[in-house]
Parts: sequence; C-alpha cells; structure tokens
Amino acid sequence: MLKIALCDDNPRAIKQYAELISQISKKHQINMEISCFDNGEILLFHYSDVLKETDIIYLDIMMGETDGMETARRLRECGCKAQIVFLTSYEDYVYEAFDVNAVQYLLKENTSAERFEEVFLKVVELASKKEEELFTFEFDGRTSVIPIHQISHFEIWQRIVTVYYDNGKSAKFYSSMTQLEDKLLGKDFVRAHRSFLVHLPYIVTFRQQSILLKTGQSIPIGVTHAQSLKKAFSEYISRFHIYYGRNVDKKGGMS
Amino acid sequence: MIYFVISVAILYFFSFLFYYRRLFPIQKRSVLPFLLLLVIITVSYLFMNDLSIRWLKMIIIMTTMVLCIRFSTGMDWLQAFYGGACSVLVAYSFRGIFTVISVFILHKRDFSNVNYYLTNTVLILPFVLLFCLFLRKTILPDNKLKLFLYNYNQLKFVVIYEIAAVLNLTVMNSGLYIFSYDVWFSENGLSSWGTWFVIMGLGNCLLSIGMLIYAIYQSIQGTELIEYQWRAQMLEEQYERQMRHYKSYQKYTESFRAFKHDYQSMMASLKLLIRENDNEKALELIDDMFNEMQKKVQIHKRYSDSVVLDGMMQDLANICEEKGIRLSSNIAVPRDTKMTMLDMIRIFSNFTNNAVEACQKVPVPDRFIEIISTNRQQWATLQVANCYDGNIHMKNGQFLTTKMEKQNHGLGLLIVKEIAENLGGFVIYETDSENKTFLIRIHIPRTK
Repeated sequence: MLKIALCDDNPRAIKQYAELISQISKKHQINMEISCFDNGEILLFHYSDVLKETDIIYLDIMMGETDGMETARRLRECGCKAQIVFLTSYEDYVYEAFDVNAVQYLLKENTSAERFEEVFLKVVELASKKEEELFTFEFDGRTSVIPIHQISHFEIWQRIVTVYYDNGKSAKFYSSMTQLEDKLLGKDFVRAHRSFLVHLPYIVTFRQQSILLKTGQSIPIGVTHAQSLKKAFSEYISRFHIYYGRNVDKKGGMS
Repeated sequence: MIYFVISVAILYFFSFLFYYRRLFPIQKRSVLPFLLLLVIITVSYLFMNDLSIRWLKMIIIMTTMVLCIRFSTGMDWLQAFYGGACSVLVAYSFRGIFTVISVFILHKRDFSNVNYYLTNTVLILPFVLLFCLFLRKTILPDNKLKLFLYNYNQLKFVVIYEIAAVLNLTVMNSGLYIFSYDVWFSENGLSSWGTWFVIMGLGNCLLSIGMLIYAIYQSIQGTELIEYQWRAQMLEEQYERQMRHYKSYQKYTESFRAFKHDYQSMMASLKLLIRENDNEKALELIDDMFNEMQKKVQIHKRYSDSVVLDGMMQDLANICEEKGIRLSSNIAVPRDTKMTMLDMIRIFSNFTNNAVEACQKVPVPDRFIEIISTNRQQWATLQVANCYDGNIHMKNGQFLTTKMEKQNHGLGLLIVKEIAENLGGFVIYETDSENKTFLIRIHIPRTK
C-alpha cells in the first residue's frame, strides 16, 4: 500500500488533486491511501507518527506560515525519504527544488490531467522500487539478504566476493564477476577495476586513478574500465534531470 | 660489471617511460615497445663500446626511446620526441659534466677508456633521476608540463633546440674518436689540447642542460601567459555581457515605471467608471490597459537563477537568433560546489562557444543547441547538446581546433577538463554521427 500526503492551503485544490489521484489509482489498480494537510506545520507535526512511512508527498509552495520549500527542507532534515512533488502556481522556486531532491516541479496552470498522470505513475514507480530490491546470496549453507541500496561495492578476489554494505559492514560469498554483473544488470552497478564492482550512487569524487565512495573508501580505477565507468556514471546522473513547465527534451523552443 | 651498467641504464629509461605513461595513459597495453627498449639498450651497451662507434649510441638510444614513448603512451610524435630527447640529453650532459670533473680530480685518467665510461654511467644515472625528480617537484609540475605538451608551438621550439643539442653533443663525443690518445694526454696528465677539449666539453654539457631546462621553463611560462591572456580576455567579455544584461534590466525597470505612472491615472478613471456603472467603458479600459502593458513593458527573460548566467545566456540567445540556431535551455546555477565563478564562466563559455561553432557548419534548419544544468543529488551537471557536421577532428583523444588562430585555441577544452578533474569530477562527450548530434557533459561533485 502506497501512502500519499497532499499539502495545500487551498481546500479546492486539495479536493481536486485528491480526486485526480484516486481516479488514476483506480485506473491503474494502484493500492493507496491519501492524507490531506492544509499547512506545512501540521504536516511536520504529523511526520513523527504517521508520515514516517509516507511514500509520496505533494506540496504546494505558497502556504501560510511555513512555505512548501521550508517544509520540504525540514522533512529532509528529519530523514524523510519520500518522493516529493511540488505542485504550485509559481515558477520562481524551481531552482530551489533541486536542493531538496524533489522529483518533479509541476505548475498547476500548465499541468494537464494527462501530464499529472504521467508524473504520478513515474513517482509511484520510484516509490515502490525502493522497498523491493534485495540482493540475496548464499554462503556456508546460509542465505543472506541485503537491500540493494545499502550496497556500496563488491570486491572480488579469486572466487571470493566481498560485499560492502550499510556503512562498513561486509560479507563474503563465492561467485564470479560475470555472474555478479549479470545478476545486478540494470541496477547501476559498474566495473571500476578488474576486481571491483561499484554502486554508482555511492561515488562522491573521481580522482586520477581512483574513486572515492560515500563510505570513505577509495577504489582503484582500471585503465580499461575508466571510460566505461565515466559513461555509465554520467548516464546515471543525467537520468534524473527534472523538467518542469516547458519541456526541454520534447518541444524545446523558448523564445 | 657490464650487466650492472645495463640494468641501471634500463631502470633509468624505464622510469622515464613510466613517468610519461602516467601523464598520458593509454588503453591498450603492449609489451613490444618495452621489449624493444630492453633489447636495444642491452645490445648497444654490449657491442657499441668501441670508440669508433660509441658516439652513435646516443642517437640510437634516443630514437628507440622516442619510438617506445610514441607506442606505449598516449603521446604523439612531437611529444614523444620531446620526451625521448629529454631523457637522453639530460643523462648525457650530466655524464659529460661528471666525466670532466673526475678527469680534473684524478688527473691522468684516460677518459676514453670503456670501463671508466661505464663507471661514470652507473654513478651518474641515479643522480640524474634525483635531479629530474627535483625539477618535477619545483619548476615542472605534472599539470604545467602537460599543458605545455599540448601547446604545439612552444613544444616545436623546444624540440628544435633538442635536435641542435643532440647534434652538438654527438659532435663533441666524436672528438674522442677522431683524435688519438696522444693528442689529449702528455706524460703528466692532460696536454694543453686535452685541457682545452675537456673544458670545452664541460661548457658544452653545462650549456646543453642549462639551455634545455631554460627552454622548457620559458615555454611553460609562455603557455601560462597565453592562458592568462585568454582568461583576462574572457573576463573582459563577461564584463561586457554583464553590462549589456544590466542595461536591458534597466530598460525593463524604466518601462515598468512608465507603465506604473499611467496605471495610477487609469485606475482612478476605472474606479470612476465602475461607480457610475458604465461597465462597457470600464471593460474597454481594462482591455486598453492590457494592450498598453503588452506594448510598453518589455519582457525580460529569465533563463536561470543567476545574473551571471543570465547575462551569458542573453548573449548566447542573441548570437543564436542571428545565426538561426534554435536554443533551448533549462539552467540552474551549480550549488555547493568548490567551483569559482570564473571557472563556471570558463566552462560555460567554452561549451557554448564550441556548440555555436559546430552549428555554423550545418545548414540553418538543422541548427540547434540544448543546454541543461542540474544539481541532482551530490553532483552538479552541465550538459550541452548541439548539431555538428559529422566530422570530429581528434588527435590522441583530444579535440583539435578548426579555428584559424590555432595557438590560442584548442586549449579550451583541455582547461575545462583540468578544472573538472581538480574538483573531483570529469568531462565526457558522445557523438552520434547518425543524428549528427554532439553531446558534452561535465559533472562536478557537490560538497554538502
């Protein structure tokens, strides 16, 4: 079940979008539940008990005392991992939206029902992805499971693979690089070196012959893998470009 | 003894080779050049010690070195020649100096003797390596050297000097073979001819090595100067752009003020009309007001959330309009990076200038530039996509400029690459020759 929060100081807007969301969910058979809030303070207040499990938050920006941007910032400070979508009449805040890792910035006037649906489905996909993906492996007859997003990288030495995850933990199992690569295909794992497989979201810095990970570990880059690693990383980062209002990739033309 | 000498020499030349390999990494690995170097050094030290052909050794080893560098690193011929000649010249000059000094100290030794020659080689090579290391740490750091090696005009000048120096030293060395032992030595040590020759040799070697370092150093300074001028010029351009941008802002403000002035009087009459229930006329007035605003208040386009970027975008938009290029953009200024404003301007102007240049080579209907910049997660990204004519001029993985004044250009992208790499990011490009689209991206990590 997906939990969705809707926050807007205009009751008409809340009603309109809540209905729209229910319609779309029914159409695509998405199991969800909506909670509505009429200002940022209340949303934040409820965060501690209800919202922790919220998957998607739709936020208006111009609202009473605490505006939407501030609300989003505070939610993120509390470690909120929900997908945030801004739904507003003002174009002016779009650049700040990047800072709170919003998925989308929708302008109420420019957003048709179809566009809203398209965005909603994309966000639902992002939100449901997080829970599912797990990495399983077997060692000494025991099967272990690690959420994929916790894995920073794999190191392989002869036939022994060491998986590094969850800030400093590690585990060993038997496999080969090709098997591992096949298993993690399309999950943003890329070879950096003959014996290293790196999870792209964990890269913080590229150096001459190594990369630095969020975990503080440094991983060597093999000469043969340097270019393909950079390419994959670039693709990974660019996949998240947010477009708003005027859609650059489709129509272009801004004069 | 001889094998010890060979191994020292091999170590010496290989350390140079690995140094250049580090500077110019290459994808494919081939053992062949290394083997060639190994064999040629060994052979030349084993069989070319006879006086009559000893002078040839320097040229042979140098040629081998150049070949090896060319085929085992990412350097091109000119760069490889520079590298090969450099390693050989420094070694031979130092050995010359060392030989002369030891002749003076030990007096009567025959400096053409093979064993003496070999001992000198073994003693001097480690010292030369240390000296080079010292140079690398002080006046020739890697990044400066690399920039210099891409500046072909300066490089050519140094290489010409190197050729002259090699010839000079070869002629010097051949003196040993042309004149007999008796000419150089009398009973109690050096003859007056010998002294003259030795002092000439000392001067020659000192001059060669000194001039070499001086030439390289000067060329690097020259390269830096060009870069500095380029930077100054760019700042000036940016300043002008900013001025133009402010002026257009000013116009916007003025037009708005003029409208506001009319607006107050129009509002007063509107109130009056409504009070008198003359709705028709009131509606008419509202329409007029709208038209007035459309006419009078100039639209000031906002491209991004930064005035500096807006200034540049305004300029780019003008250029694009003039040249019939479709421009689309979605730009957010990079946040929380360690990039300076100047770096940002350099990157942006570089990317966009290249894009405009490429667009001019295709027919007008196909011209387009698309700019996107984002701050997603931990990375700031700038992406520029544009059309191009399908021809890319590349040399060793570097783009070549197609501009007329070559010495000032072509360094641009290299500098952008350096900025990115110093900040822990990188530059990547893709060419789609089918759709004739060129795409370049720079990624810079954000610190927060």
